[in-house]
Amino acid sequence: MRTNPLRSTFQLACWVGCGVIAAGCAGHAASTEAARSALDAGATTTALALLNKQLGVERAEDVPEDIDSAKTLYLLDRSMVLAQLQRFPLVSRDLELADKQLMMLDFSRGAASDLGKYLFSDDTGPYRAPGYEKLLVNTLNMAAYLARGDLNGARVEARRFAVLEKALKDAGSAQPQLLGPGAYLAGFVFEKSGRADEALRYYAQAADATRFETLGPALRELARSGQTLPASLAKLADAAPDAPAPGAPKEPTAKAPDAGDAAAAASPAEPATGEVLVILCYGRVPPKIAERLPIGLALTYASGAMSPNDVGRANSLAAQGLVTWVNYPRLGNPRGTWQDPGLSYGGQWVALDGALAVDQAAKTAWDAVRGRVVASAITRMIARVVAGETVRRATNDSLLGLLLSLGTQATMTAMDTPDTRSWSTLPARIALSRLRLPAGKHQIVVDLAGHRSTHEITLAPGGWSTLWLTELR
Amino acid sequence: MTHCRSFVLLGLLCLPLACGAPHAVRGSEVAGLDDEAMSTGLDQRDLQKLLNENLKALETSAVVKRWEAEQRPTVAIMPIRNETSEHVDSALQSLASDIETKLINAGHVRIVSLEQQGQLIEQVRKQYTDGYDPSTVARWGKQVGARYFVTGKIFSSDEMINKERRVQYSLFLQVLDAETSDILFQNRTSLTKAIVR
Repeated sequence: MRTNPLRSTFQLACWVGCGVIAAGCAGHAASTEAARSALDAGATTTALALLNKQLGVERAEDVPEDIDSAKTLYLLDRSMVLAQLQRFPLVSRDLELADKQLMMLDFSRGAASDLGKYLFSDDTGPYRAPGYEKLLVNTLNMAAYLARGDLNGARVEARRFAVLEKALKDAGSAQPQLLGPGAYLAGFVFEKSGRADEALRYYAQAADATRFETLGPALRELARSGQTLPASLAKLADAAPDAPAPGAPKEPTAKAPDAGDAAAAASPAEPATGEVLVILCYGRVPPKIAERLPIGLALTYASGAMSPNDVGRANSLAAQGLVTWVNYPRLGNPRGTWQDPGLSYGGQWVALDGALAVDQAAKTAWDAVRGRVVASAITRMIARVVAGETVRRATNDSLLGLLLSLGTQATMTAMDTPDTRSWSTLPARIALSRLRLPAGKHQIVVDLAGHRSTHEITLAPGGWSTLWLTELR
Repeated sequence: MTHCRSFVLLGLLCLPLACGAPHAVRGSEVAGLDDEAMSTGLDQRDLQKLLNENLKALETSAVVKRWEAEQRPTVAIMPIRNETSEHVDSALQSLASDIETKLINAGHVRIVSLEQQGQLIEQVRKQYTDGYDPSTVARWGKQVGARYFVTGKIFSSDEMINKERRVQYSLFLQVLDAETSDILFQNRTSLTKAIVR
């Protein structure tokens, strides 16, 4: 059978185009997929090695020489893997590097990258982190400094958190619930630094975000020491149980699984006490996934974010069958077992405050920008078709022109990568608690994401300690 | 003509790729390298400014006359407290070392090195609060054998608006009497760092 050589060339061009299109849809999320899968499988060190590879370094102790948008995100991803491995100095280093880069990327965003977003690809230009990611950089770095017992570093992060919070508020983009864990930790930092006034200011901000029941006993202590509590905090202090005995966990409920091994340690007669701050992070926020959206649905999502002229052009092209799909980043499902974490001491459960559902914050932030993202995807799609048509007409509708037109559109489609950039190892949930215990050694049992672990804490009289555990699955 | 335009466009698009490779340089090789601000943190030039202005004030202060009268009393340089929104602790350690060097070379005092007092320094750095408790300062003085402490604190006012950030630093250099924790000298110097568009 004889084949038409021009037809074969046409088919080849189509296949090449499709291949290029498929390759072009990978984006940032695909580059972290292996590391995320390793985390799902509990292979934390493998995830760390994969992220090191993405960063172009051999070891977690190394940082890349040049840090662009992608590497900033890999640093953020690596920081949480390092948190799971309890390597807190490296967590701080990665978060601080990323923090500075995020600010510079945010500031550098200009008209050229905006134009690129509408002409070439969704992930053209610097990464612009949503507010919740920026706030959690400082919040989680505060946790890292506290876990190392370093109030000085934690205070710096608390101040950075306050500067950012003010900037977000001034820009009208600060959701109050996002401030909860950061304000709680900042309050703890300043309380333990002996600065009750500043601590109360942060605690009031935390209480505005979430009703933190575990703050009650600490607030009562601050009131006893002569501090005047604002009304919102006075309510929390009043709701706390009367005179919590040192060593007796707040609001004991059912008998915990480790009952009997340390109950004797809780002695009301013991005068010298210390405090343990417990920070539990678990699950992972939903990743962004590249997918092709039918043009009709895309136009529905983008309604309100597109000009009537562009909507008309898109509808016209869709009616001619010239476009059927739009490259689009979708928000996936959060990762994690949604079983509540458990904390017990001396055989009794200890109350935990759900500080922040980060996965829900991610969804809210995504819902707020989705229309604009789809609108830019449709605009790029129109630009591709128009460019193809221009090439075809310039070559007088010849077969070569048709091939060049297809090639132009295929190349532009390949360049068009849905923006799947995000901090993909960010924990989905954060829970906080505090225990006042007698000075000495104690064992605290934690149930987190299906794993039970026992942690020995040593408290000096009047001292404090932080237990930060992360389970990214 | 169309092809010519395409090549020019392609060339312009490729131009940034050719210029981007990072490479290491020496300060002496690039004019003004040490003068350029790279971030809102404190660099060598900032430290020199803070150091020179403070030591100039110290040189003419009453406490130096007191030291001269006491014939080289022992002084220890304590860490400078970071009350800013920047992680500038290593720069502040460098500043404290520079102060130590200047005081040694000026010859007014004998400097007690705290390098062997790592635990004490760590205690001061991690846990210090708003002010120095007199009993604690006296204990530290006895522990290290110092009659005076030179220390300081640095504050910042940090603002971020319209994609710009400005950090205004104020450094207070202090001389404390170890026995009484009286502040015998205090001077303030300021500088501003910013990221502007």
